[in-house]
Amino acid sequence: MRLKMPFIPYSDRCSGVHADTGIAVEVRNLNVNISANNEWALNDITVTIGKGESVALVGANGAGKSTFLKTTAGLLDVASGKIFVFGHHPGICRHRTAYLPQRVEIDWKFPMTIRNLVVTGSYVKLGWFNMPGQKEFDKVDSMLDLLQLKEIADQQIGQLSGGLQQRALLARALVHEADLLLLDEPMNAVDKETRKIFGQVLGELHNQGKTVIIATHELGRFESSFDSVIHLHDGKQIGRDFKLDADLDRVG
Amino acid sequence: MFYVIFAIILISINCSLVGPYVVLRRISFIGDAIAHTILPGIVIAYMIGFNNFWGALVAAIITAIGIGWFTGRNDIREDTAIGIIFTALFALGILLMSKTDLSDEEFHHMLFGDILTIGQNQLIIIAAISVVILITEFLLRKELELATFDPMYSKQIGSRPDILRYVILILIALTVVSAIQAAGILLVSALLITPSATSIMLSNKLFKINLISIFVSILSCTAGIYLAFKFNVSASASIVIVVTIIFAVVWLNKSNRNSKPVKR
Repeated sequence: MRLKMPFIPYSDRCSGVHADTGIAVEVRNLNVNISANNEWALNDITVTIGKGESVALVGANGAGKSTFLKTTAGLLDVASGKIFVFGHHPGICRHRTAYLPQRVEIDWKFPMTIRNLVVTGSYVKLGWFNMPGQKEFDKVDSMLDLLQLKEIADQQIGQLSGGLQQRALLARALVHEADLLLLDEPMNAVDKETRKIFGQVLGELHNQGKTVIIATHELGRFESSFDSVIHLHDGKQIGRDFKLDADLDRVG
Repeated sequence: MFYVIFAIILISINCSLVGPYVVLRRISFIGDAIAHTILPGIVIAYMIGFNNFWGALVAAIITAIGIGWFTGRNDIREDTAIGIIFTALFALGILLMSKTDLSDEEFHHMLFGDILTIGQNQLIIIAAISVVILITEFLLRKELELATFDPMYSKQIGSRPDILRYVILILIALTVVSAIQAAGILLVSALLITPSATSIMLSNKLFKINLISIFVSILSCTAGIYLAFKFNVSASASIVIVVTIIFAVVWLNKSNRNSKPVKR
């Protein structure tokens, strides 16, 4: 049974008014502390990511990649410094930012089907009390189709391989219809087919002008897919490589 | 007998609506804990001449909020917070009780209940709490499910899993308080956990899990009371044994099916 309720947005939603600065994420001297022992998980990070850019965050485990993504998603508190997402504090433009967690952070034994996992991506636009309807499920079905999950959409999420679980999480992030996608290790230990599909989806997102930030510990053959690569080590930024043609664009 | 049947149905509904959250959030200990922490509330209410129920209700809600606050700080795990608050408040109840003239028999009845002696007032309270739980869970069903399944995504979209955790804890407290004097600690704890744990093995949809759980609870209560009459034993204990047997049958059947080799 569905009740049609007035739209009541979840907390801290932005007004929808954004200055057209061309910048998706702006970070100035950012420090973030996630443990009690006063070690910086992010230490004096300064970086600007333009709208429509695709950026890879590269570093070993503990380098601060996940912390950067979670801070950008508004999930962690900032100790000092500034971070703006579409000109607002993180966690304000919730409908424009989608965070894809690492697979290990999800309880895959939870009694939930793939379709129901993916439809949670529509909740941000439904707000309190409203349930997803035909429109939302149609969108879910088209994403399941795109990621080749339609045949198994009614299976319990724990019955899937790692690659299919990762695709289900990506499908949810796509249903969110965000302008900024924060993907945490989406290609970690996935099959060839999933890598291929991810490559195609990332290309499509780039064409649509979406901003994508991916955390990964190895770039592999995807290096050429990114406009720039930010290297992190022990919470510090140790360099940023720009793609050659992106460099030329900047110079031009 | 009419009151007993109605009470069984309503207690089964309440426990089956909040039970899946208890199991899925891995806080199975909580029903038992709240059932014990209401003791100081009951004793204080008795000392100042208030109705036991209100004393129990206040103590249960304080426990729920205390557990929520402790675990929200992230430096104490939820099961540890439950354990600390539960033992401390129960100890306080025992200390206070030794200063009153409450008899062991009255104390025993308060905590262990007797479903066959349920009165109209208790039934009205249980029914009122059923309405509160049904409305809350109906309106917030997608938010409560997401906050339980993936609290990080729930936080990212702003649907406040921190507040929803309090909502669930308070619903559990209401369920336990309303049922405890009719059903007792043992039966309330069992009805919160076992039917939900059974139904979670049988469905991937929360609504169906609730329905199966209600069915399992009512079936166990009916069969348990019948066996209690037939063999002249405790009704609560027989119900718990029946519901545990149903769980075991479903679990064995499921693990047997899962261990069969898959045809290629």
